[in-house]
Amino acid sequence: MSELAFLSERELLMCEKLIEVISSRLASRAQGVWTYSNLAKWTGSKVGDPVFMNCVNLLAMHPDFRVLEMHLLFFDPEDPESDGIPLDDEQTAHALAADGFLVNPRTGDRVQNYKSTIVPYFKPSKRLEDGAHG
Amino acid sequence: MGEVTIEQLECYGATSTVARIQWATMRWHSGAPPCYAEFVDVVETAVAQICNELARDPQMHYGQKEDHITYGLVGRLKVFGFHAAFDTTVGGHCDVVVKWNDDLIWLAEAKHYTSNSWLWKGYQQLSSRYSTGEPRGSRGGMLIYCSKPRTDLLMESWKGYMLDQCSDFVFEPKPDRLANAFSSHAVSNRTGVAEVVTHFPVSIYFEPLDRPKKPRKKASKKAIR
Repeated sequence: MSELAFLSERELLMCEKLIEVISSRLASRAQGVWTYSNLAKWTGSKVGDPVFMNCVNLLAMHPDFRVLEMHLLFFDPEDPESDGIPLDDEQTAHALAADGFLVNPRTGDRVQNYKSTIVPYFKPSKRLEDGAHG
Repeated sequence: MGEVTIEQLECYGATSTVARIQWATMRWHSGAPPCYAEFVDVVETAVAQICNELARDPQMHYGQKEDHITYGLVGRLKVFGFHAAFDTTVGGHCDVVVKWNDDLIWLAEAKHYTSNSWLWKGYQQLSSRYSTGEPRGSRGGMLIYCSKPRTDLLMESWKGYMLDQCSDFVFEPKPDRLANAFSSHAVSNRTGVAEVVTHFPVSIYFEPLDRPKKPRKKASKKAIR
């Protein structure tokens, strides 16, 4: 039985689409920010469609096919013009912990209802970058 | 903002068991590793989910070899984002090994329910051969593929057999995991640490009553004689 035998036809097609988009973005100078919303737009999908969500998650988590790594951007409600501040590993770990919190990187204050201010985005995994450059 | 936030992903994670598992492993992969209790909870939720999926199509698995079914189960665990391996060496060839950062470990042994003594052999392999008896590896599972009817009666019989082998076992029903699932509590022979094994009965019994019955063979002339 194949490792991916549990995936439906639609999921396999969606994974192919996502890999095409990722590859072309990686080769392009204008890579854009790989958020869920942008990946959905570029693949002609809808955010919240379980097939789309399953496939993005699969490509970010499957131990054998991991091509994406999830990172976080903080959008400061006090600074609506900001393009978002990338969180470092420690801030990310705190923000994603079960009893998490976030300290505003700009002001040093704890952010109330911080989960609505953080947007996940993806970067190519080390494996994908190694493959692209080697 | 128009972008998907962590808050929205958490809400999405609450919409189904699969989404909950994915959101948990996504958080772990992204730098917020689990404690052992959370790791075990999510692994066992995922195993129960897969067992449910297997039981939904019993005709696909009825008559299949243990290894074939287990290999598929491990593949599905990987789709959920677990570092899972089939038939990996940990003191012997353990059927299912799930690890996180080489630090947290959950082991399982898979057996067709042919007899209680066959299951007992699997349980002993799991508890005395593969398990290290360390606190971060003290939980595991028995995947019990049932091609016979009435998993409730089979599990009661299995519990009784376990008690006959060792009267110290304590059992706890786990209906939230799977119908007729239970956990057995014992003490590691190696370290004295409490070991908890969850027993997952997977019903792959397939004998639909609407299936036309085979016509009885006519008695041969020889038999009549």
